[in-house]
Amino acid sequence: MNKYNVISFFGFLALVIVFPIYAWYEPTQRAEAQDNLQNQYVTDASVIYIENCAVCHGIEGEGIGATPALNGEALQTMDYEELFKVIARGRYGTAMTGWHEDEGGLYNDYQIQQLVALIRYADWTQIGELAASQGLIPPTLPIPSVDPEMVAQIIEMSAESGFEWAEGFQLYASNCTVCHGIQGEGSDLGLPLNTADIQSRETAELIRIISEGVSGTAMVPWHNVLTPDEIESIVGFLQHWDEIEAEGVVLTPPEPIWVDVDDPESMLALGERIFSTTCVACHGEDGSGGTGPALNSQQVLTANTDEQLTNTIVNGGWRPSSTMPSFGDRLTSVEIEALVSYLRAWEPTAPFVENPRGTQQGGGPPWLRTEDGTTTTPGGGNGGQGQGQGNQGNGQGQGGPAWRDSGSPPGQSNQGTTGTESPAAAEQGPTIAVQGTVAAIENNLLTVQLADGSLVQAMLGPPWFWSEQGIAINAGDAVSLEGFESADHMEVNWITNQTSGETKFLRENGQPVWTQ
Amino acid sequence: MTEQKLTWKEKIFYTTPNDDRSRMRTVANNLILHIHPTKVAKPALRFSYTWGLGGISSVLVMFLILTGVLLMFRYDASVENAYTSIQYLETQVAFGALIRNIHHWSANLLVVTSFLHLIRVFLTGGFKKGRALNWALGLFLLTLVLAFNFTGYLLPWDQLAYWAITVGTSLLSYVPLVGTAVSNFLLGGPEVGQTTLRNFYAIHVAVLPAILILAMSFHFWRVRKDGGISQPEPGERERVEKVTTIPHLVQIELAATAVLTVVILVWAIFVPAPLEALANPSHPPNPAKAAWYFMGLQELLLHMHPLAAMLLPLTLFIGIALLPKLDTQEDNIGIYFRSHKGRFAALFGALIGTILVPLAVLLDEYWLDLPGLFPTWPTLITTGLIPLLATLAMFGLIYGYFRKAGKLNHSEAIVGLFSFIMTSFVTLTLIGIFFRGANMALVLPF
Repeated sequence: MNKYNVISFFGFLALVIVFPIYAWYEPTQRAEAQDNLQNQYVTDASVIYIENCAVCHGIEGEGIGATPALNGEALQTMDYEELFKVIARGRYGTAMTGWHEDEGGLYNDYQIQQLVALIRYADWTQIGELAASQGLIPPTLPIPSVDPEMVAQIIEMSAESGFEWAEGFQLYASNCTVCHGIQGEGSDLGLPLNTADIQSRETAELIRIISEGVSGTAMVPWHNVLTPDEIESIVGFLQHWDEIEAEGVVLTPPEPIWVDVDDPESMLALGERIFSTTCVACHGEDGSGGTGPALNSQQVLTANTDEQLTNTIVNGGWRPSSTMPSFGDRLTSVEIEALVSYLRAWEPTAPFVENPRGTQQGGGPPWLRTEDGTTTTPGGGNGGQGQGQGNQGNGQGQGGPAWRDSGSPPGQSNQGTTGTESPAAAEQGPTIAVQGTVAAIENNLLTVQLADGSLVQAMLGPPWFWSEQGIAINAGDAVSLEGFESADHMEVNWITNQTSGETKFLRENGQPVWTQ
Repeated sequence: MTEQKLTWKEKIFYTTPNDDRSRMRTVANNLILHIHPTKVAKPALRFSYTWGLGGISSVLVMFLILTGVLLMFRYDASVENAYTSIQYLETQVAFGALIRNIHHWSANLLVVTSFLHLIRVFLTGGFKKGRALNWALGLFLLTLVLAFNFTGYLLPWDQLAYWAITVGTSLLSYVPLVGTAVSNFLLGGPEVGQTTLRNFYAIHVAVLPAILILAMSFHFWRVRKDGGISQPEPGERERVEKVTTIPHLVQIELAATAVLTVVILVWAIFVPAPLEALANPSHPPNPAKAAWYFMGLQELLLHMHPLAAMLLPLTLFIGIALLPKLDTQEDNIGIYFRSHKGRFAALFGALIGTILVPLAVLLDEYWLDLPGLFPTWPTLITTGLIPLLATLAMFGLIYGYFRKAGKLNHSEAIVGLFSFIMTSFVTLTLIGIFFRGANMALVLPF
């Protein structure tokens, strides 16, 4: 054999080996390529979505007001052509316009195909994340908030129809401003309404326009959404708008808040906004502490790295007694990052707090402390106040859409219930003593039945601690224990198994023994 | 011929003739093998003489035709569907991605191999002794390959395609008088759009292949008519040894094909053909570059008035086409670099090319400002005529230097000059590809 034949032989040998191997993996590779392509479609489409769709359909496709949600299963299984058609051509009689170039829209076939893929395959929380990473935090529809004082002012204006106008005013603010403007000045989408012409129109005509809509425009038939009474009250408001305005009742436009995520200053501002709306209720003004630990303290800030802070925010409190809920699914990563940077910014000036743990472990915010340093019993009213400051305080709450605030941290509601306990043990918060029989014990969660038949759940320290160091407790044993109330169970200072006579101390002078 | 009793083995593998007479008869009687003579000169088989570049190029053309036809089944030459049809091909069609990758990489490799083929033929004087026509034909085939690549570049309709073609055809508009008309004709309008896509597709899959097959056949036929590939003149009373085509030539071709196939296949498996985002006429990438093989030209445009940047390559192209008239010394045919001195000239030419061109680019980029020096003169002179004449004068200088200082003959000096020009062109292309960043500013690629 000469060298050319040898080369040919090995060449063809390589072909015979390489090609079948490739052929074997080809279907897998193709499936991978399909996945990648689908991801790419969804990613491309989410950029479009955030730019143009999120304003009406919500940043996570949850739907806003009369605009339908997109994150439902029904849409995901909807016919491809149908979805394409609605996005491309719009839907008659609704505010959904045609987005295809042919309809005067912005997008070509390909981009609308991507949008269809988005509806079918999107992970909507990720789109919220993406919006956040582009600085749209928190996503808001430009709906102005109505000050109760304004409503009261309108009601005072007229004895017989003040209420109607006030209702119309509020309905206008939440339904009409997107197109017709905050002050009825109109926009590309809707006519100006705060005009003499509108005020001079017949009531019946205005009612008809609102309830039937104007075909060929974005004016939708509102009778689907609003009751006839509501429509009537809007008309009443429109006809007396000039008078109301003359009283000085004017809506202030909300600014959709865009945050420059690369600018530390604006991230700090965002962190402050989130803290003052979300965290303040438990952690107190400027992190001075409350139900939750005083975060603005040397101890907390030096003991925790950014990573640990992030972890706690994402996953909730790590202590078994903690009432800190997990915020991982409520805040986007950008918001959490901003929040951590805001907390971290306190560090240089943070005071040394005697006991940075929350009220129930001692310490507590200033308004809960008496002058001699002991903590007063937090009453239900106090708890409510804390919450109020958080969510409505000087209009900062506008940034958070309702769905983000829907789950208020459970710690707050709990604070109200502690008010029934007797004031005792300044260091420990309200101490309670319990005596009864063990109904169940599961790991470190003890359920005790009291004499009156009610059940008390008590947490016996972290599971690892109790399993290593705990005493034997079986169902039916008589126990007595002392501890203090926590979120949905009590924390134990000591426990005695009266059946076996064993006693275990879990906290000494407020310090859990497993931390010593 | 008497009937022979054949064993079953011979019945199945009958095609291997095993004596010289029947081997020669097989070549003569076979449609495909008949592009070869029955016997070839033994020195012509030396791989390090031809490097198999012509053969490799024609095998690549075969790959391209095969995969190209397959691609046509799924490709849709409309602006709405072209890009998605490629996506469909890559994600839904069995072996679709592989076929596209083979087509893409074969096409790019073909540009390289046919260019190297030109260089090889020049260096061995393959245009001499009646081969002028085939030399011109080969040059035509090279432009055809570029036209193929250029038209094929647009078809995926991604950002890369759209902007490379937009940049590429905008060069056309600098051609005086007819440039804009030709550009409008090709694009079917002033801009790259649906008509352009259709035009390019039709040209790519019908017009060019027809011309290519005819021109290739002509090219092969001329090789036969010119007495095979160029060979050194045999000395007095010297006889060139001849061997049968089967197996001596065929086995080399087989080996080259096998290696090429494996290389292309493996490369295509591991390196996907690029597919960028959908073409977007309102978002040009920065920098917007032409296809890589036109980057030399685009680089030239940065330094010269468009007219000069057109004239210079045109002059060179005509010069190369007329080489058989310029270098008529026939006794050095078949010898690499003509002679030992020619080898030195080529090396020296390449050396000054790789040094002078980057220097000139840097000089023009940072120090030299001709229009600033002569603000009252029209730019046609300051950035057009002056650099053009300077470049041509440089060529003359180099030629003169080789003749006078190097004491080379005309033929050898041309080798040196050709080497300088080609190295300069390659260097310019490399600068354009790797050293030009955003706004076509000079950047370091690493």
